[in-house]
Order: sequence, then structure tokens, then C-alpha cells
Amino acid sequence: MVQGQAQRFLLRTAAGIVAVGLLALVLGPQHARAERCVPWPGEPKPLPQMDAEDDLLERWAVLRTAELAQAARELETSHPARAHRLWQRVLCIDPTNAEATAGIGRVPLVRMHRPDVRRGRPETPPGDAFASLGVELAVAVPRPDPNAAARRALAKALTSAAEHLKNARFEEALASAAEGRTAVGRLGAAADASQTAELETLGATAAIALGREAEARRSFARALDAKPDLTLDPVRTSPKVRRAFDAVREQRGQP
Amino acid sequence: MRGCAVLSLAAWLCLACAGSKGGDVPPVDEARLQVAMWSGFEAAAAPLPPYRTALVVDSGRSMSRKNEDGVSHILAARLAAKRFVEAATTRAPLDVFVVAGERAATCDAPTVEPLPGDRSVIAASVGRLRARGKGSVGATLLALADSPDPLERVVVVTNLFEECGSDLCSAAAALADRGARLDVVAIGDIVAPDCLGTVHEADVEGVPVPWTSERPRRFHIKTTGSDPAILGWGLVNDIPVGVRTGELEIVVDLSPPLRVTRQFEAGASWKLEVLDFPSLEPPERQWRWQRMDATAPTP
Repeated sequence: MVQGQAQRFLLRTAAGIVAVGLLALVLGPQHARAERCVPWPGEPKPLPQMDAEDDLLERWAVLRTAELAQAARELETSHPARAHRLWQRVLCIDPTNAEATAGIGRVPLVRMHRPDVRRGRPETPPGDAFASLGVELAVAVPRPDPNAAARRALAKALTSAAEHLKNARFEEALASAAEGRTAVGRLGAAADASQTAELETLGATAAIALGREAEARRSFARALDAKPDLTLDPVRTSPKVRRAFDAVREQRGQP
Repeated sequence: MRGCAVLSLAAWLCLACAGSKGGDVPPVDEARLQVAMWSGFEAAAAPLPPYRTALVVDSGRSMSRKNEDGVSHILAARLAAKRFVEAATTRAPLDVFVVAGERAATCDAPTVEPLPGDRSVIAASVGRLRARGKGSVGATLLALADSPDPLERVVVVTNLFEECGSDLCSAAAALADRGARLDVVAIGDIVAPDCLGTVHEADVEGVPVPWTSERPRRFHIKTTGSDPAILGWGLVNDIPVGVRTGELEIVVDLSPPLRVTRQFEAGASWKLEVLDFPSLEPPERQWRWQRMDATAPTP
């Protein structure tokens, strides 16, 4: 008994909710339209429709829609929000006006633009600022350097080799030169010839300081491979290093 | 009775206050006249002023995100904003607002100050924007909607990532109420809220009616014949005035004036109803007489 009453109550409640929902669906847009269709200053109250019984008010409706449409068309480009308002007004007076419906579609109050974004050279946009909003954005972004890590490693090895050499830490200088050589190997043809020559010269200098002349000559050979016109500063380079360098040059047939 | 509102130049012409009650009857030796008019836009109305535009650029830290091509949202936003500034007409004012862009920027305060400088300076500033700090695009748009200076168009460049919890749709609706169109340039893949597609103006109060004159219009009452004399005047769309009996000419202050004559019988109440649409091509004007007392049919 109680269960039956509860079921009936639930059914009635559900039916009520559905009815209210349907009513809101039907009346919602009309209510919104009625809110928007309050007569503006100077307009007849209530706002006449195209099928007004009074001849003069009917004529007013015809003339008013013509006037509003004329102004809306003129304003669509420069003042779209005002044009939207005027088209809405036409629909208040003539709810079936197809031109007004199309006009509202042309001048929505919110416009979305989602331009394609790609990497590339920026192109000249259209002359009109608003027309440019949806146009592809070609952004000039340098591509990431695939050798960036090797270049960084080479630069770091050069700095540390020079520092070690300056402080007479010759073994460490040789180790740094070896690290730099690995980076040069990774760079391959992209390696900077001057940097390679500098690195090998530092390594050769450290090797000579340690009495490893053969190792020094191999370094100088690699330096001259990278930069055949390499020369050493005659003032700042020790005679022992210069002799090793000149010997390698002679071996290669470079006077 | 709503009070006396109409003057008379002729002493005998008592422009009695007739009030709005339908039962009022004019004295036996006079008639009543009311003029109602619904006019359209003015023909020689001044052109609308150039529209004022605001450009809002989202420079919050989320704009550092990159697309699959490795282009960050801020780089794309910078380009979009810069080319808009450079292409925008210099005949109309343009203010550019940057949301966030500084490490210290927070959600607390919307951007209310535009970038300083002329267009070239602003374009250069936009070209240097960096994705830093936090800021609310929605709150900035709401602040613009509350601005005392009327805006016609607002452009926002954003990736639609709202870090500060504001509602872009509410802001768009507020701008619509103020008569501004919102253009959203969306960078990236975040889907725009559906509500943006259904924004409409909700505020019907104070809707600006373009080119409609609000100045009160007059009508004059004149005698007819070879030596017409002005007997008095009244205001259009106001309460009825008392007029003497006989044939009178009513001249409504329009361009060109509307002149109509009528025989006024003692005790009669007449209403002249006028439609005037001077801005239409071709202009149109219509009028008719309505007998307001029940004693005789309308001609």
C-alpha cells in the first residue's frame, strides 16, 4: 500500500518535472525574446508586429523593419555589435524575417578564430586587421640545432684544456683535449675547423710538456688536417712546441 | 490630471489640461487636439564615431606551451597581436592590454592599464611579450565591459587556458550588453566553451537607438485663410490641448513640415497620428485623424 503510494508520488513528481522542462523549452526563447523586444524610446507600445490589426501600426512595422535592415546592412562591417542589435530588433517586429536571421548569423556577438600555427617565414597578412585574425600564423622559429650538445661539449673542453694548460696540469689538459676530440667526432663535418685546430694545439702542447712527442705530432697532424694554413704565434709558443709543429708540417710537405 | 504642459499664445485659446482620462470632455465652445508621432531614424544624422577597439593578449605562463611543430603559443600570440596592431586603422582608437607577462603577475587583479606609446611602440612591446606569471583573461574582459568608455570591438588572443577560474562566457555576455563584439583568436588545441556560441545581449535597458532624435517636437495651430495667424503650439506625443472650433491648420515640426487642416467641432477630441521615416529611400510619411470621443466615427 505504502509502496504503491510512493510509486505514484514518484511518477507524479517525474511527470511534473518533465512538464516544467517542456514548458521551459517552449517558453524560454519566447521569454528571452520578450525581454529583448521591449519598445525602445519613441516606438509604439506595445511593439507592433507585421500583422498588426491597425493599418497605421502595420505600416509602421513595415517601415521600421525596412529602416532597421537598411542601417544594419550598412553597419555590419564597421559596427557589428550594433548591426546585430538592429537585426535582433527586426526579428522583434517580424519574427520570420529571413534576412534578419541571416544577418544575425553574419554578425554574431562572439566570433571564434583558430588560425593554423606553423613554423615558417611570416607572410604579409591581409590589409584589414579583423580579416587577419583567422589567417595562418607562420612563425619564424630557428629549428633546434641537433649538434648543440656536441658544440657545448667542445666549447667546454676547449675552455678546460686551456685552463689546465695554464696551470701546468698537463694530464688534465690531455684528458680535456680527448673529451673535445670525442665531441669533434660527433660533429663530423659540422665541426668548426678553427676550434678543432685550437683543441689539437692545446693537446699537442700538453703532450710535449709531458715528453710525449709522438702524441704531440699526432695532435698537430689532426690540427693541420682541420686547418691546413694553421700557424703558431712565434712569440707566445715555446721553441720545443714550434719545432714539433714545424716537423709535422715538413712531413706533410708544407713548408 | 498629469499637470499643465502646454502654453497658448492666444488668450482665448485655453490649452486646458485635459489629462489622460478618457472621460474628460472639452468645454462646449472648444475642441481638443493631440498629436502622436512615431518617427524613424533622422535623415541627416551624423555618422557614427569610429569604433574603439581593445586588444587583449594572454601572456600567462601557460602560453609557453608548444604545438607539435615546436612553436610556442606565446610566439604565435605575439605574431597575431603584432600584425593586428600594425594593420588596425589609425582612424579609430586601439588600446592593447596584456594579461600577465610578468613573473610577479597573479590572478588577483585584472589588467586595466593599456600599453603606453604610439602604434609602433605598442607593436614593438607586443613583439617582446614573454609567457610569465598568471592572469585572468575573463576578469580583464569584465573590467573592459565596466569601462566608462564605450567599446565597439574587443579582440582577445589566448590559448583558452584559464588559470584563474574566470568565466569567458560571462565576460563575453557583459561585453555584448555594452554593445561590443568579441573576437577570440584561439591558439592551440583547447576547445572553446560551447556557451560562446550562444552569447546574446541580455540587457535591454538603455539600448542606444542610433540616429533617433530625442528632442521634443512641436506642432503649431494656425488659422486658415488668406491671413493665417498662429494661435498656439503644443508638444508631439504629449497630452491633448484645447483648441477653438472651426477650421484650423496643424503644422508639425518635421523636415519638411507636415501641414494638415481640420474642421474642429465643439466638444470633439481629435488625434493626429503621424508616421515619419525620413531616412528611408525614398522617405515615407503617413498621417491620419482619429476621433477620440465616441460621438462620431473616424473619417
